[in-house]
Amino acid sequence: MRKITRYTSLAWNFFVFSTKSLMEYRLNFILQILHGPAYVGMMYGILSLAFDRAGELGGWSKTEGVLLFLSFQLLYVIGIVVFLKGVRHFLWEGLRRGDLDMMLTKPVNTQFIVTFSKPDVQQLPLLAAITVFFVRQVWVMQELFTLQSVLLFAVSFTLGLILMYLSSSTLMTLGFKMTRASQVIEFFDKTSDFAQYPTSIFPVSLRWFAFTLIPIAFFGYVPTSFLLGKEIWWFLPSEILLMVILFFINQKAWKEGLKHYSSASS
Amino acid sequence: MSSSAISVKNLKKYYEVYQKQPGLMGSITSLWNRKYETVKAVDDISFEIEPGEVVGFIGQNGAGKTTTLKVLSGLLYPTAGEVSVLGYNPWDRQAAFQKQFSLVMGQKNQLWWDLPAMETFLLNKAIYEVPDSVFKKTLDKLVNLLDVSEVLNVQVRKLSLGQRMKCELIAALLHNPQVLFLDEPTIGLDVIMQKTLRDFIKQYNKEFNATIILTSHYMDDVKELCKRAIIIDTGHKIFDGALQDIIDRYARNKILSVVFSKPVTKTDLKPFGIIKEFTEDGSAYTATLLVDRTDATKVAGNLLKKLPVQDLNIEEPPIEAIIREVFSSSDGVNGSKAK
Repeated sequence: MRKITRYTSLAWNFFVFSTKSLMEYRLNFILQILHGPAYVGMMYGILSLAFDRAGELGGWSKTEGVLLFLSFQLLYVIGIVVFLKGVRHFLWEGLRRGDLDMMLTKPVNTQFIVTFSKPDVQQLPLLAAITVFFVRQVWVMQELFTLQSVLLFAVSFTLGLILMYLSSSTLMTLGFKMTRASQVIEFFDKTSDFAQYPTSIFPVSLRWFAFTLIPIAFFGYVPTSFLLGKEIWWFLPSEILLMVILFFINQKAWKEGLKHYSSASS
Repeated sequence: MSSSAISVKNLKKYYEVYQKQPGLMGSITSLWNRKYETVKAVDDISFEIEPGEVVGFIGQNGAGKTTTLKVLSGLLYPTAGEVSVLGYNPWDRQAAFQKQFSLVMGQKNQLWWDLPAMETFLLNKAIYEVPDSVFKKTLDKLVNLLDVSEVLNVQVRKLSLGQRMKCELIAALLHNPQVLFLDEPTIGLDVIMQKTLRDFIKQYNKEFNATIILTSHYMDDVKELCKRAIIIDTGHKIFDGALQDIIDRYARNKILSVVFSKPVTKTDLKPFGIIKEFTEDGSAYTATLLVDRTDATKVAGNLLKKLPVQDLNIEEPPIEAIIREVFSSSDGVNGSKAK
C-alpha cells in the first residue's frame, strides 16, 4: 500500500512539474489549448462523413461508431498524457543520448521513471475536449446502457489502458537492441489508429493480431462493445490473460535490456 | 566483503563498437555489412577504497574512468568481476543503496531545464523521501556554502555554467549521500569557480565523512582534494597510491629556478642541466633548469659556487608534467607499477 501511495505521489509530482514547465512559455500554452478542440472537431467530421456514405460499418451504426471513436480517443489521449511521451522520448533520443543514466541512479523503479516522468501535459486541452465530446455522446445514447454495461465498460477501459502501457513499454525494450528505435513507436501509433474502427470490419487474420500481438481491439472496440452490450463472452478473460502474459514478457525484456544498456560517452 | 566502502575485483567492461567506413558508400555498405570491434573500456581493474577516503581517478580521455564510475553506480553491467559499494551489488539497483550515493557528471544534468533549480530540489526531495525538516536544514546549508541563494528561483536555462554546476551539486547532495562519484565536476568552469567547488567538496567530505571518487583533467582538483590517486590508461590500472608516490616514482627531474645578479650566457649554464627557459632583458637574467632529481642539491651547490646567483629555488615539476611522464613511460603502461 505504501508503495502504491509513493508511486502515485511521484507520478503526480511529475505531472505537476511538467505542467509548471509548460506554463513557463505562456503563448505556446494558450495555442495548445485552442488546438485540442479543433483536432477533435475535424476527426469527428471525417468520421461522420464516412458513416453518412456507408450507413454502417461491420454491424456498427453511425452513433455506435462515433462512440467507439470517442472512447478510443479518450483512452489513447490519456495514454499520451500519462506515459506515451516518455516511451516516445526513450525510443527517439533517450537511449541514444544516454539519458537513462541519471534515471538509473534514482531510488525509483526505472521503468516507472522513464514512462511517467515526461507526461505530455500539452495534450490536456485535447483530453478535455475529447472528454466533453465523449460525455455528450454517452448522454445522447444513455437509453442503450445498463448499470452492468457501464461497469463492464469501466473495467475494460481501465484494462485497455494498462494493456496500452504494457504493450508500448514492451516495445520500448526493443530500444536496447536498436539504440534508436523511433520507427517502433511510429508503428505503434499508426497501428493504434485502426482502433478507432470496429475490429469486426477487419479480415479474420488481422482480427487475430488485434486481439493478441498488437492488442488494439482492447483500446476501443472491446470497451465500447461492453457499453453497447455487443460483447462476446471471451473478451474479458482474454483481456486479463493478455495483461498477465504481457506483464511477464515486459518485466523479463526490460531486465534483459538493462543488462545491454551501454550508455553514451560523457 | 571487506570493511571497505568500495571494493572492486578484476572488473572488466567490454563494448562492441561498430566501425563505420567514411562516406555515403560506407553508410550504404553498413546496412548489410558492419564490422564490430571489441573495446576494452575497463580491463581487469581492482582496488579498495576506505570509508571517508577521497580518491582521484586520473587518466586520459577514453581511459575508462567514466565507465568505471558508471559500473560503480549500477548504470552498466560489467563484463566480468566483482563490485561492492557500501556492501551492495550496484546493479541490483536496490533503493536502499541508491539513497546512499550520488553520481555527478559534469557534462550531464539532472536539473529541469525550463524550471528554476528549486523545483528540481523539491522533486528530488520526493524521489529520495527526504523529510521536510532534513530537507530544509540540508538545503539551507548547501545554499549558503555554495552561495546560490539568489539564483534558486531563476530558470536553469538562464544560469551560467558555474551557477548550474553548483545547483547540480546541491541536487545531488540533498539526500546526504555517503558515497559520491564526481565525474569532472569542474569541467568548463573558471579558476575561481573551480576553487569554490573544490572547497565545497572538501568541506562535504569532512563533515559527512563521505567516500568520494573524483575524476578530473584539472590536476589542481586532484592535488587539493585527494591524498590517493588511481591512474588508469586504456582500461588498465597503472598506478594506485599516494600522490606523493607518483612524484617520487615518476618525476625524473627537479626544477631549478635561478636569478643571476650579473650577465650569464646559455653556454655557462649548459654543464648544469637542461635549459628549459632563459631570459635576459638587460637588467635581469633568469633561467629554469631541469636537473636529475638525485643530483639536484649537488647541482645547486655548484651553481652557487661557479655563477653569480642572486636567488635559487628547487621545485618539484608540476603534477601535470609527471602524469604525462607516467603515460609516456612504457613500464607504467604495461602495468608493472600498479599495486
